[in-house]
Amino acid sequence: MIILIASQKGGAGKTTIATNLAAKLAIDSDVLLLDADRQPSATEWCIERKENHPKRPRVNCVQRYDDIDDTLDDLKDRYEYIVVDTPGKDSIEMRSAMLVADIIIIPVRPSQTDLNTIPVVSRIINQSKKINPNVKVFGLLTMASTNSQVKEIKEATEFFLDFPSIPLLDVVISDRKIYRDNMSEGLSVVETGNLSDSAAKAKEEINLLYKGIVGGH
Amino acid sequence: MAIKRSKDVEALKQQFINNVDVGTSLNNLTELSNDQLVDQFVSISQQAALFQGRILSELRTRFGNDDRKFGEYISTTILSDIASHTRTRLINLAVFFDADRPMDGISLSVAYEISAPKNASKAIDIYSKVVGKKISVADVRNMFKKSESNSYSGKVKSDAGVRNGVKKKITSLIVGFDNKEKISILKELINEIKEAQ
Ligand SMILES: Nc1ncnc2c1ncn2[C@@H]1O[C@H](COP(=O)(O)OP(=O)(O)OP(=O)(O)O)[C@@H](O)[C@H]1O
Ligand SMILES: [Mg+2]
Repeated sequence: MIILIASQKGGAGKTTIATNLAAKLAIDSDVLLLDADRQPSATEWCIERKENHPKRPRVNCVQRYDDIDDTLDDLKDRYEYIVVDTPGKDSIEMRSAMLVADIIIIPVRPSQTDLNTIPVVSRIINQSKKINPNVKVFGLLTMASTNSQVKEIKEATEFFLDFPSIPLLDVVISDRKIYRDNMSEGLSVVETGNLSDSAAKAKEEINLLYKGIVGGH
Repeated sequence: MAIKRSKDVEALKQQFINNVDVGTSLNNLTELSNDQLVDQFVSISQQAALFQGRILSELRTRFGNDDRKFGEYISTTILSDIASHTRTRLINLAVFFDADRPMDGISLSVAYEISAPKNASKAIDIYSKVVGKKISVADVRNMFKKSESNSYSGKVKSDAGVRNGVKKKITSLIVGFDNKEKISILKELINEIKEAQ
């Protein structure tokens, strides 16, 4: 199963979602993390992970650029899950992956500038569905501030009602320091030894994300 | 499930992938293929012309769509060196082309031809025949001409209004020649018609 993480805007949290999800899936599946971003932060996460946490569940990593649909088609029989991280913009990598993905997750921060990209993203997705009609697409609110969450999220949720091709997942990923810390460590928040309340909530978020997209299978 | 790669799907796929947003992929021209560079050039000229047309159209409505007042205003701005016919062309373009009628595979000169008011009655028909097909402007002009002459066909005798219209068109086409040359062109044409009978 190919899970594509894509957004039209940089810094929306794609790599954070991709790495956390890949590590979560790796607990009991064969997982490949395909880094299609020439600013290879997912690959850096992989290198950290290999060096510092060799005993953790294995996440296989490769870097591929340009048209990656044929590559993905070839690789998908070898892994249970392929998680694809893409550049933070409309790109050949994002579009070609859309043509073969089973699931597309669109992370967006609940801010006006991020939400403004959704009409274009929705149009691109509708075009891609002419070729890949069975793909499942989900919006995912990320980096929501833990203070003013309620209002921001309500507004963003209302905004998404206009885009039925991108239903929002119920789970919201909050802005938590532990996401940043674990990223530079090569870990997922589900693996952290941190016992804080915030760490427990982050774990819960990634577990819910996992359930929301693959739990039903 | 792997998709079947018929030729059509392959073409659709390439088109979808190459449609990458211009604004972002202009930052890395060295990464683009020749075809992609050409596509980017076309796409950016189309977008520029469409937006210019929309902007001018919006401005014109602010002067009650009064071309004289609009022109007067423009002459006071930095846009004064854009000829009025160029402004009109851009506005017509923006009126005709929109989200439902994209300029896909249509060059700008063809787009101007299709959106010209003189072609309005046939424009949608011709548009549907050329969209996505990269047809030259000369061919498109011929298509308009043909459909024009077709519309007179079957009329053994035309009424005075139609005849005057035809005469005006012909006159406008030969307006640049001196009288002797005009007569010789028309004589040639008459001979050709006679021979065809
Ligand atoms: N939920 C979160 N809480 C706190 N910090 C986060 C969270 N998600 C991402 N970040 C931080 O925000 C920054 C951008 O996130 P990330 O790299 O995941 O985004 P991206 O969409 O992959 O960016 P790019 O488009 O540049 O690839 C990183 O420093 C990351 O650690
Ligand atoms: Mg990233």
